[in-house]
Order: sequence, then C-alpha cells, then structure tokens
Amino acid sequence: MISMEYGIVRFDSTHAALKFEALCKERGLSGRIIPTPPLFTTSCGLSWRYEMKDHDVIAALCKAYDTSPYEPIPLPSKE
Amino acid sequence: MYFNCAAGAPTHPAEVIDAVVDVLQQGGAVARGGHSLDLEAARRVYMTRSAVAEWFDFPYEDRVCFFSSATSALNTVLYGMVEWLQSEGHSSDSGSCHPIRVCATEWDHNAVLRPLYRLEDKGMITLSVVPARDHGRFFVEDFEELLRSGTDLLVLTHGSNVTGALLDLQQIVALAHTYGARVVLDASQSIPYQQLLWSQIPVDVLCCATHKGLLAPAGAAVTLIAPDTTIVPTVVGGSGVMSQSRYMPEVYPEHLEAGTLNLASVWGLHAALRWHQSAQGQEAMQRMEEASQEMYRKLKDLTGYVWHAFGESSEARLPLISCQPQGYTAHQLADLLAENFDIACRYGLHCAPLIHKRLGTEVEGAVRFSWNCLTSQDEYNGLYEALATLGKRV
Repeated sequence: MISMEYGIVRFDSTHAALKFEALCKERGLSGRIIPTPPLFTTSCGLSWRYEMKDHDVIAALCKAYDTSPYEPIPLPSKE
Repeated sequence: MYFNCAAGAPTHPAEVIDAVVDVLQQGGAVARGGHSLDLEAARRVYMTRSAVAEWFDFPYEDRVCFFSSATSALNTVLYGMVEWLQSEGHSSDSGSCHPIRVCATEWDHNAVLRPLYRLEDKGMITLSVVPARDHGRFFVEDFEELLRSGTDLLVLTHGSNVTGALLDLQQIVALAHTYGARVVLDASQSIPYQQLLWSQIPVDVLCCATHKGLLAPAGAAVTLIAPDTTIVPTVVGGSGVMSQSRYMPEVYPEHLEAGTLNLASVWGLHAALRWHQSAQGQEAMQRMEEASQEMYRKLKDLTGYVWHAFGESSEARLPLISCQPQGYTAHQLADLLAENFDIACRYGLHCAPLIHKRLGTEVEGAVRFSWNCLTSQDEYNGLYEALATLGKRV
C-alpha cells in the first residue's frame, strides 16, 4: 500500500541529507529527517520525509541543488 | 609566557572552550543514527564544513574533509593522490606504471617530506626539491625549470615554520597549472594570518592544521579537495553510508572520513572560525599585527643574536622569528628562558630539516619564537626584556 501523505528523498551522503534539510528550512518547507526505510538500501541511513503536497517543489529543489541522485518518491506506508 | 604558538595554541577563546564542553556534555554520534542527538551532532559537522568552505571561498562544501591532524591529512592526500595519478596513467603515455614526478620544496615539513620519502623508496615517485637558495627563499625560475622539465605533482608550503617567510602563492600555483602539474598546498602555518581564497588560488588540494593560529582544539585538521581531483583513501572502514559495499563510498566527504569524527574538535573549530570573524577576533588580529611589527624591529636590533629574518620587517610574514644565539647553543638559550623567565619557545629543527640545512643550522638547530593573536603585551615585553638581558651576558 502506498501512502499519499508523505514522500522521501534519499541521499548517498549524510552531508547531502543535512544540506537538504537546511535548504528546506530556509524555504519554510515542512518535513524532517527520518531513518531510511530498509526497502531502500541504496542510500545513506538518512532520508528527508516531506508532505506529498510539496512533491513538485521538493523535486525541483533536488534537481536545482544536485543533492541526491535519486528521484523523490512516495513513502510506502506501514501495512 | 608562551612563544611556541606555531606548534599549538596555549589557550583558546571562551567560545571555543564552551563549544567543546557542550559537545562533551551533550554530544551524539555523527552519521550513525537518526535520534535527535545524533542528528544534532551531524548538523554541527555540516555547519562546520559550511563555515570552512565559506572561510576559503570554496564552493564545494561536501569536499571539505576532516582529519585528526594535518599530518594525517597530508599522508592520505600524498599517498592517495599518487595512487590516483598512477591509475590515470599520468606518468606515461603508454599507460605503464612509471613513477609520478613529484616536486617539493626546502620549506616543507616532515609531514610532507616523510610520506614523499617513503613513496620514493617504494619506487612510486621521483622526487625533486626546489632549493631555497635566495637566503632561505625561492627563485621563481627554479620552480619553472622543474615544472618545464616535467612535474605531475607540486607540493608547496605556504609559509616557512622556521623563517616565517611566505610564498608568492598566486604566481607559483598559476605557473604549476600552466605546465599541467597538480598542486597540494600545506597552509598549516599561514591560516588565519594570510587570506587564502580558493576562488583566487585554486590549488588542487589544500591541507590546513586548525589548532595553531586558528585557535581551534587539536583534532580537526581540514582538507579541501578540488572537484576534478581524486584521493584514493588510505584509511578505510565505517562511513555510516553504503555499508553493504566492500569499498569506501565514492561520494565526498565520506570517501575520506572512515571512522568516528572528533566532534568536540570539529565543533570547536566552528566556534573558532566564528570568533575570528567577529569584531573581537578581528581586533585581536589587528593588535597582533601591530605588536608583530614592533617585535621584528626591536628584536633585530638586539645584540647577541643572529636572526633568520628576511626582507623588510614590514613585509607580510608569519608571526614567528628564529635566531642563533651567540654564546649559547640553541637548546641552552631555550633552557635559560624556560628556567629563569618562564618563557616557552621551540629549539631544534622544527620538523623542517631541509630549510635548516639551507641555513646551515642542521646540527644545532635554531630557537624559534612564535605568537598568536591572544599573546598579551606583557608577554611581548617579557620576551624582549629576557632576550635583552641574556644577550648582554655574551
């Protein structure tokens, strides 16, 4: 089941995760760092969880700052 | 009275001490968990990397790496860069593994020289050394001759830790890049006394101790690595990311930061950088510059000493000066100063044997006095009076 509430941005370095957090905070975008769910093994241990209503803004931010090689995607919810 | 500041700061601004204490009281594991304490630890490292990048006007904050010391950084950089250059086939058109042609200078510290000697002994590099034959300084044509004849890697020391003289970095780095050589710079003694902006002097790698003039705690040396440069890590292990891989992650800074970072020192460095940028720090630096000029002028007129100072006393140099006492050996003078005047200085070869050989002091060594922006006027006066008293006895 896919949650429509949250998406995640995965990173390949802790530095990139923290940088993305700072970028979002500067822009007043809500969200927080969460441990990366085990489903996604190809990333560092941290991800940015955002509200899906901000998906397009988040995707644009990822692209603009080249912080992540991964597309932001909806976060699978718990069963 | 502490005049061994080129080796390390005897005291630190209160803000730096507070930052270290704060980490010791409520630290956390950097890049090793998602709890708020661990995230806060990682944020502190992130903020320090950003502050270092800002300090050097270096636009690649993810390529600011922390090491336990400048020596550790230089070992990794020199071994790792030579291995990378060999893999790139830099040393031979045919792609066979010829030694990398490295050029160092007579100002270099053993933190540079000993890794290079080891690489030379293993047959991985050929080593040339630029002589400081202009009374302990360099002729630019000596650099140009070695660069023209073929140099893959030029290793520079920004300022001599023995004479205090500074390199014309802009000219030499530009020359090296014109001839296609990579440049590694050891700026351990010159920061923060010289402004060094990567945007103006784009060295390939910059290594810098932070516990000397910068007044940070020991344990968080910084290295800036240009985006088109690769360092093969010499230390591998836990990185907190890509744990399923047999190898260190390719992404920086994790690529070169195996193991646990010294968070107290890193956060202390953040506080030190901010302190230097504050009005208080800038006033302290201004006071030091004025006091330095007076010291050079007064010391050079003292009888009983031969000073290794070059050029006009007003020219830019590091806040240090070295001498040969007449009538005492170097270690005797240092002992007299410590025992009778409670003055700390540094005698011997200062881990920079080649410049001492050039100056003819490789057997006895010299006595070096070095200060920083927290040195008080009473300390400057005390040193001058002590040296004047001892000089008259000769």
